[in-house]
Amino acid sequence: MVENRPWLTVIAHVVLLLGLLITAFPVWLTFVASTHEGTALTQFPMPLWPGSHFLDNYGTILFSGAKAAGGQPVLLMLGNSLIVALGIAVGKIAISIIAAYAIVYFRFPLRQTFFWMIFMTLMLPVEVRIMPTFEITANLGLLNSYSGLIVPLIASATATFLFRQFFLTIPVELVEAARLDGAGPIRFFRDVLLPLSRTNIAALFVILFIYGWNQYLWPLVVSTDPSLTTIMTGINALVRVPDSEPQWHLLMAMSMLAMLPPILVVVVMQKLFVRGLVETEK
Amino acid sequence: MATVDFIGVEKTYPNGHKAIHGINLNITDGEFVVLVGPSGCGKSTLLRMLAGLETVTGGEIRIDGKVVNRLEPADRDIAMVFQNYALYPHMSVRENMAYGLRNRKTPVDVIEKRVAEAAKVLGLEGMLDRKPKQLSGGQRQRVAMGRAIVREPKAFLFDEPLSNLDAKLRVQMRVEIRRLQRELNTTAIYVTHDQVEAMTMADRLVVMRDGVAQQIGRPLDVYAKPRTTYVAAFIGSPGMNLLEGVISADGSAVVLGKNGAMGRSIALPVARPGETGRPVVLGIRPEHLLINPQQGDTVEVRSVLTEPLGADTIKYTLLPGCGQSLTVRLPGTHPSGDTDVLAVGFDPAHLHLFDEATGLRLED
Ligand SMILES: Nc1ncnc2c1ncn2[C@@H]1O[C@H](COP(=O)(O)OP(=O)(O)O)[C@@H](O)[C@H]1O
Ligand SMILES: [Mg+2]
Repeated sequence: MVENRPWLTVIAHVVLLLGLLITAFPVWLTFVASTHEGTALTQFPMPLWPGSHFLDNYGTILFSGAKAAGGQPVLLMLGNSLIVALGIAVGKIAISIIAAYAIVYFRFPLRQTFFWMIFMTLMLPVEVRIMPTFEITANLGLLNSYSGLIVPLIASATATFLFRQFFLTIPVELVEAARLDGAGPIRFFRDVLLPLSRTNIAALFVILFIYGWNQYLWPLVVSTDPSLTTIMTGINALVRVPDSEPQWHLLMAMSMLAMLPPILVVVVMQKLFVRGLVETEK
Repeated sequence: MATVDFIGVEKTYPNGHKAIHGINLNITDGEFVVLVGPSGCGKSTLLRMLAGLETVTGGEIRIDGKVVNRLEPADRDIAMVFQNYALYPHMSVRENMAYGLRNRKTPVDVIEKRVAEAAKVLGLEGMLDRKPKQLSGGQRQRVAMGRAIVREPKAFLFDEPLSNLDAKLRVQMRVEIRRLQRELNTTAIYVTHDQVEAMTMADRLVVMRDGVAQQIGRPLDVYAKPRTTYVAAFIGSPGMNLLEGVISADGSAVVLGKNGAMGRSIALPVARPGETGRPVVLGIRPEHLLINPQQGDTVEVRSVLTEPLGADTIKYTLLPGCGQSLTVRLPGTHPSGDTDVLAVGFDPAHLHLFDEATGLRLED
């Protein structure tokens, strides 16, 4: 598309702006709602500009929590979510890069079988295997613990597959050169494979962090201890408070807070992996 | 600094393909041996077996008299330069060169000294902190060489190291590699499919075909006395002319053409009485054909294509009556008409004779 007609450019920008407005509007409303009193939101028309209760709402939510939903401070929930999301992202990357290393670079019996077994679990999301997974977690005594929240979600066929595909693009001569240079399996992994995988790791980290951050069903099932509430289960708990109006202003404040860490990760890591892509070494 | 011996070396790949059929070769200390042959003839396989990157399925490989069949590549004390350089993309030139030494726990000051020396020899001094992708092809090639040099190995192995370079750089690097190898006096085994590279660089050539060493010898010996028609055609650019024929009734000449169909006879320097009617292949190099000679028989040939090379002119011609082609090299420039007709004579001093069935050279 190297067309150079001014009115095309104008139309393109108008369409883009419209798209931006449509996607950004709900987020704006969420922010507006989080700065008003609860009563303001049940009246017609809904306010379109921020109100004066920003500090009130966020203060309440962060440090003491919403009474109606058991009163867990959101700061605690954010902390829990952070631990879980980091645990899942780091764990998944560590496990899958090692698994892919074994599958690509080592000749062991049933290698292909193992690969396809891992690959097949791709077809089974957490929700499908939640009963057996719960059973095992319970038997291991991991209910109501961070390990219980993290470990069952760590095995990752997707990430293993991605690393495998990447490793297959690394020229064999590089492996052979390393062998001649006296690098054993561990050294090769640490000195060559890991640095070359940097950008892949960064990209996966972003995706997996958000995946972990957004987990809802599993934390709900595996933890009953209020001090282990994650932000996602916390928000939902506040929506379903029995016998009263949902406290929309607090809910929206919580939603805003829940959005921040993933955005932060994307922004920070994006810089990292764009840099990685620009100075790509292949 | 080492001798390398291949003793009845064979290689059968796991898929059952037999790539090397018993190679015997003794390489002396400091020698530069070139394995040459067309793609797929097993050159890389042989080199990689020496490096330890492929298992040896038959025979023995010795380095300095010690059998290395079961040694890990790192324990053989050899260094290899790959066609695609295989530099570590995320490491600087300095780190690339130092990596092997670091893994061997070489003291840091020794590493620094050797890297600095290698950089100086290879003209890489200003580039030690660059990454491979910031270098040109020729410079990457030098880094790959540097990585081999700093190790001070028993032998250098090269697998088509110049194939990725442009023609001019290739000539320059080939001189440089040879100079370096002489200076360091390290045994080197060099694989190439380019017979010019092979001829110019080798102390000794190994001409390979389908996993067999067809001839082993000094380049000019191989050139002067190819042991088979295959070697005759492969070595030299263009290769030797090979013409079918039979020994004449009195054994003093070769009658050209299948079963002597062309009728034209070429006198042999030494008569072969008693071999009358034997099917042979007559060989003569393009530069040994005489144009309009004062004496002796001539054959009239028709030129179909002329390649002016500046110093020489190559004419591709057809022998009348049998469709066999004859390549002629003429010194100097010769403007072409496509229908040139030349009278060429065969210099008896430079005739080669091969058995037609086996392709083996027939000695006088
Ligand atoms: N890993 C392998 N498995 C099976 N056959 C192979 C393998 N590597 C090479 N070959 C075969 O062995 C023969 C020699 O290969 P190679 O040594 O690479 O040839 P060259 O380097 O002379 O071009 C070829 O026919 C090739 O197809
Ligand atoms: Mg090869």
